[in-house]
Amino acid sequence: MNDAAIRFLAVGHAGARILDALRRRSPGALECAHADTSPESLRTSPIDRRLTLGLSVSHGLGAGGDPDIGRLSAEADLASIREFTQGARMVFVVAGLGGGTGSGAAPVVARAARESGALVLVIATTPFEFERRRVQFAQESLERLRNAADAVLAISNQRVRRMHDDRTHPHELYQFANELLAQTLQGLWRLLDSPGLIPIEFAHIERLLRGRHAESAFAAVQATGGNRAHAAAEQLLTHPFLDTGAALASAREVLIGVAGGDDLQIGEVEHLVETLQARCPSADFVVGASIDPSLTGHLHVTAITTRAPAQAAAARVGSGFGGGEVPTPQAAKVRSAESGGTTAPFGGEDFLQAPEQRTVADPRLIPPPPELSMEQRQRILSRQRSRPSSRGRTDSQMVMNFDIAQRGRFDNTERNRHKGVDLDVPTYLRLGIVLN
Amino acid sequence: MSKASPILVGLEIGTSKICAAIGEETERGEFTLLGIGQARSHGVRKGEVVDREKAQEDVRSALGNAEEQAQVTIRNLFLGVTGRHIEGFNNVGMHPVASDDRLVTAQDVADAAENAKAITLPAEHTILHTIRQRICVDGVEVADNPAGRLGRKVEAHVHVIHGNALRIQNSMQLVQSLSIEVNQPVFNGLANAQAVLTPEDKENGALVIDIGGGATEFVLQQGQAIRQSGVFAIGGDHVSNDIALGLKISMGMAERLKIRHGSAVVGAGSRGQSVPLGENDVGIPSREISLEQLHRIMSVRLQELFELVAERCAEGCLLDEARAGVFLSGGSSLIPGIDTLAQRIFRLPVTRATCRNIAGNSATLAHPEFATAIGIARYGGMRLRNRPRQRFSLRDVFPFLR
Repeated sequence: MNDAAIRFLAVGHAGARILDALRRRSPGALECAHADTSPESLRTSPIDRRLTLGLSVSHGLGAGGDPDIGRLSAEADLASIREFTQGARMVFVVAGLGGGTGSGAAPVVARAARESGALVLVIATTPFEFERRRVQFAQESLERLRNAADAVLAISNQRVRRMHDDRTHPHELYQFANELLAQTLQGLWRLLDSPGLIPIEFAHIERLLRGRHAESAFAAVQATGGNRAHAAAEQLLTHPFLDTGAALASAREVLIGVAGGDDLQIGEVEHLVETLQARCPSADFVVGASIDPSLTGHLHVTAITTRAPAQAAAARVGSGFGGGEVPTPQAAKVRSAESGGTTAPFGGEDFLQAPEQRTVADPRLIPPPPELSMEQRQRILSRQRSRPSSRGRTDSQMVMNFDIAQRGRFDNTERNRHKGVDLDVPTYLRLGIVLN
Repeated sequence: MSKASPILVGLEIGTSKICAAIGEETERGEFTLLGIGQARSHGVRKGEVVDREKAQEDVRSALGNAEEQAQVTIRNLFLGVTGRHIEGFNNVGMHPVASDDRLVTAQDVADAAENAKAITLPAEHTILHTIRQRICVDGVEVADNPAGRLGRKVEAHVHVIHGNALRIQNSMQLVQSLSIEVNQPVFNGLANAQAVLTPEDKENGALVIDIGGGATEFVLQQGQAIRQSGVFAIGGDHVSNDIALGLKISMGMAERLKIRHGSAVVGAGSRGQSVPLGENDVGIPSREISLEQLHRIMSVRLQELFELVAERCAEGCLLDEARAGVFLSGGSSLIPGIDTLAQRIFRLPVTRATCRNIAGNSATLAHPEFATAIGIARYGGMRLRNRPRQRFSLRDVFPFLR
């Protein structure tokens, strides 16, 4: 897949930070650019190629948190964006939604890239729940991105927040989110760009992602050591971005990209895929493996899953919302409650499951491609046929069977967990000491 | 019935026994133990009350015994709390010196200490103790009172012990329902260290490990500062439970076996040895138990416990600061060989703790089981004594849940 020219375009400050994290991970020549409305942000940008957006609109003041200015700015400088994306087969648009540039310009940029013939993947972060107004901007922007791009992978900062305790430094949190996204980006990029041991057809990814973003979930993990294949599988099966494995259990298609150094063994790939397959028996697997000598000793695994459409449809129709309505945080809360799905209204799950609502209010938006509505129709039909929606989930529940160990006197007391072991269980049992 | 100095009462609601200590303290801080009351505990598991009614009954009888022995009436007491929800950690609070002349004021120091408490605790947790470790001005450690120095920034290093407010309140309510007021909840581990450490030990730095029935508290004290503290919900109960499960005998038998033949190390002497389990209910002599197996079960459990403590203290190389060594307290510290085991893991001198610097019945004071209750009473005395001038004290700045 070396002929697939892959380019990275950061929109706004947050996007540049993520892209910078990616650049630091993979020092090879990445074709990337940073588009921003703020000259100040561009001046300090770690990325060499810089595209100034909307000097004529904002007069060098930046978008100032207003998505409309962001959008107008991008439209004013469409030419420079097209120039960058021209000839690329795949463009990753990286943005932090919620601010003016990210929320406003990213959909326009994504559309421009797509119009130049590339497959467009958007990697975005969405704000914390407490940033009320920004959350709304981000939500609106996501809707537009879904119409404009081929795939949108959104991670809520709130979700990342839940993986940390209260004492975490905010900087650390952002860095973690950036690293996580960069890791995934790197995984996807490596999947397409590295010499394949088991190559993945570009078309596979395209087929998997085009028009399916509402049900896509993704994760990238890495592991080292002798048991790395097993460790990587375990990490994936408990990965929060995959709904702690639920996304795998209910997946219809799973794409696994394995990357390793010269010591990568086919047995490892086999073991990994078999472990994952055991959890999602009904899914189609596409497996790719690639070699990068700099990864010797490491195993990187990228997983992209698409859900069976029935669940996404149930989530959407259950809400009873009109097509043109722009979801507010409150509305989204109601929706997630009705679909019985997620605990947090603005967690990543919600963005991933969110319906592709068409925002007709904005004349600038090109109507969504017809195949989308076809799929919607299909989904509604399949929902009416049957609703065995939680079958996959029960499978994953059955595995939780760790109550074999004896606790004796402490049987009915709170578990005494410490670093993953129950200290109430006799030590000799846990250490495997045999008493004859 | 009435005494001139205030009567100090410490109550420990433990997993295996409930213990109340009554003492009094002179102006200069000399503590005299007047009485001890104890009762077997039935409603507590792993340091936390699970059966309120039984626990209430046991507390009543322990307090009654103590009152009888000391010839006083208990109206209020200091209550020891423990449980795996209690956690200690170190924090730093900073405060810039605001005045133009950069003169550090007492208020700056107080503000820095206050800032150190501005931490995000887990939900429903409350601060039990905030203990000042040291004060730095512009990164340089200064004596206890930096007021009057020049500097830009005051830093207060503190150790914060916090726990689940509802669980703490639960045990407080249990006492309050007996019409006795609780002055303040005290972390058992902290109290224990006050009973077993002499001022010299504290100055040299000491790690006190109190292995109770259901929970083990540890406190690393150096000078007046606590460097590390915490609780593991593992205790003598776990040792007995392991024996019961491993040798397939009843909990009561396991308990007896532990006391009569137990050891924390597997010695050469136990190899191939066996002991009769005793007669069963119908008088038929039952099977024999391999001594080596018994000792191995106990040894791995206690070793794991010490390793957990050592791991927590190894953060920041704190074990090096415990120059006075490790002090083992609590009922399980009576297990033979436990000092050898601890020595092997901590690589420090190990002492079986007794209550020291306390006047009273020496036989009682020699019992490590009573150290916590006595320590709570003693800690109460320090609290009352130091209230007007808190600077030098192990102090709580938060009034608890009021």
